[in-house]
Amino acid sequence: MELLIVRHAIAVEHGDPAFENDDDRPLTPEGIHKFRLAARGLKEVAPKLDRIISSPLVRARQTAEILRDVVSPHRKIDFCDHLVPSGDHAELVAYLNRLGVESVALVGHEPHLSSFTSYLLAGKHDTAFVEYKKGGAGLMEFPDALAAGSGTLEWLIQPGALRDIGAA
Amino acid sequence: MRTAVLEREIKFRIPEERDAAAVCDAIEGAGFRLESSGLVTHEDGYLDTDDWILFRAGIALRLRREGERLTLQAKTIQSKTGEVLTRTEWAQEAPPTDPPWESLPNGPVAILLRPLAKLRVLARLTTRARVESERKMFRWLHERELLGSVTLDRVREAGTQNGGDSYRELEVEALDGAAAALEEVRAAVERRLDLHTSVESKLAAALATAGEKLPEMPERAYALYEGDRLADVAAKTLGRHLTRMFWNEPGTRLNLDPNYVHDMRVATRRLRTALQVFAMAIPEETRESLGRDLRWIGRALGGVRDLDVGLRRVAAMVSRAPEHERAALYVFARYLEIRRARRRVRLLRRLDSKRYEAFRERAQRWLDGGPTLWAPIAAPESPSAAGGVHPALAPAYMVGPRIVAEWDNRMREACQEAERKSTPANVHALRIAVKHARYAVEYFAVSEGQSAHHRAKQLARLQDKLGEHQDAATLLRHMRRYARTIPRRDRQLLLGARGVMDRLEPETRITRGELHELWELGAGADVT
Repeated sequence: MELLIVRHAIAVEHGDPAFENDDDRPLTPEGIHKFRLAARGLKEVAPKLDRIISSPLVRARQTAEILRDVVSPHRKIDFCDHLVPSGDHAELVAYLNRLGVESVALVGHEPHLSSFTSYLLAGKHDTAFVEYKKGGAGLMEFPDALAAGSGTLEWLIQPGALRDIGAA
Repeated sequence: MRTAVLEREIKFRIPEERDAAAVCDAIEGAGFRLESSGLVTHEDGYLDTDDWILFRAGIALRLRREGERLTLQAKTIQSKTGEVLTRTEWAQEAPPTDPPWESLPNGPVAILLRPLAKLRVLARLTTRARVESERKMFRWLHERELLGSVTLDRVREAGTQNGGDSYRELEVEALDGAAAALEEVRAAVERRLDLHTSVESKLAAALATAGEKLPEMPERAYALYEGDRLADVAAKTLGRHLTRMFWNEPGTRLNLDPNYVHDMRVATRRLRTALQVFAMAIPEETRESLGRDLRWIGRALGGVRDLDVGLRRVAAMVSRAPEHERAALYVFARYLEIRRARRRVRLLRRLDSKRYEAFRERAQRWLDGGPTLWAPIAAPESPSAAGGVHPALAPAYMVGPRIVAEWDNRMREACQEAERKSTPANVHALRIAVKHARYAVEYFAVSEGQSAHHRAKQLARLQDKLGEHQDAATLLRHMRRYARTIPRRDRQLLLGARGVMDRLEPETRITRGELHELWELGAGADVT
């Protein structure tokens, strides 16, 4: 199984009085512009996606929509509560294994995504040794079903580099 | 934890003579399975203030007691759709004591209600209705796939086990992705049992068990009569629109439906026009101070409303836009949403300000106590300079036609100017003049009869047509500003934005011929 992990793009700042509820913070136009270009880079390097799963929070949902439009148009986006910042890693693994597909994109938040990546690579909950910038992405491969410590990191590309790949 | 949940359901009210099992049979007969999942009883207290602020804001707030567990649930009252009800729900832990409360524990309902804080909602909450329900619950499945739940409730006024009104209701609620199956259930129950879906809210049903009903906007006191004097018409017109303005304030604050902002803004616009149309019946000081405050709050409302109109137009454009423009419209809509959210913050700051509070208190005193605002004119002993009856005290049917004709003339002049030179400023001035003329006709419609209603409709059509051009011009301005932020590397988005602007541009222009045609259709035909 291949797992493409994408952090949401640049959103309105935390604490902005126009978006009192943190869950409602949307992407800024700048964030959308940048991620559109980064998504073109992802189209070049990512596998064909069977599913796109997003955190239900607005900024992640909007990122997933752009990813879908650029990389895999017409694909439905599914939402998973285990992808919210406080989501449980083991529950997320169980959810993904139930899907029974070959390649999945996950769109979520930091530090949840980096700790989830580290969990899948090294089996540890409490150490994050990768970091995703906003709009950055990583690809992991698993020989079989997802399990803690069983993944291999194929690549991790930060958004500036993705935009360059997309523009090439 | 997700803060708001979208609920999709259909409901059937089951008549006493019907067997509830027949409805379940009808659902199973349509190819679904129902698995019993238990029986619960709970008590729901529906909470609101004495002046129904939550209902006016578009939500029902209920305190649900299920055994030892207390939950506070807020739900939108209006469904976004017809027979399949689509409502948003927020839930959180409730305070351990009965309302009123000083504050709520942090949670989705507390966040939802925050914009109403200035209206001291929590401290004024009372229980408006209390019902208890016995609920049979079922899992709703198609083969092995879980589609949602079915619940069968027996609801009665709390504390009236052996008496009082009660009713039975069956609710079918769909999980995400199963909404289409609701339609199959609806059709099956309707076909087999001739039972139709119910759209009554639980709040309305709960009040009905206690023989009460939901309030209506208190406008009756401002009904106009043919024999009213000009001062009466002025006072009632201001009273009616102030009432509408304040009635829509909680909904404007809560922001669950853009219609509240629209209605509150329309009320402020009609008030401002009324201050000018009834100038001779309202003391100058009152006119000026009221006018200043209305303009100030109206601008903040207009700022939000203009972007709602823009967003609606963008949504309509998406459906017929070519592929390359859709992406540009998508980002543009997000850009407008953020601007709207910022303008809403400005609006809330104004609504929370001391200035607005003073305005509301002053207006409320007048609404509660009568038209002391224009006592100097309304007093019978106040004569006009010529020694006769002051025009404000003359019957409206005598003074009204002259006032309407005056506003009509202003509109004609504005139209001539716009026909001579159809600049955006002149077309805008014409739109405002048409609006004033329309409102003037409407204010005197009771004394002027049926023809006035017809004329007001004609003017409204003209105003709408001109408004469409104006709205397109406003949207194009926003689009140009946004397009400047698109990175040059994103040629596809640049092209899309260019295409959108090219499409909008002709909609902003109005030719002399078109203007003349509109005028003939809307206003020129039978000017008084």
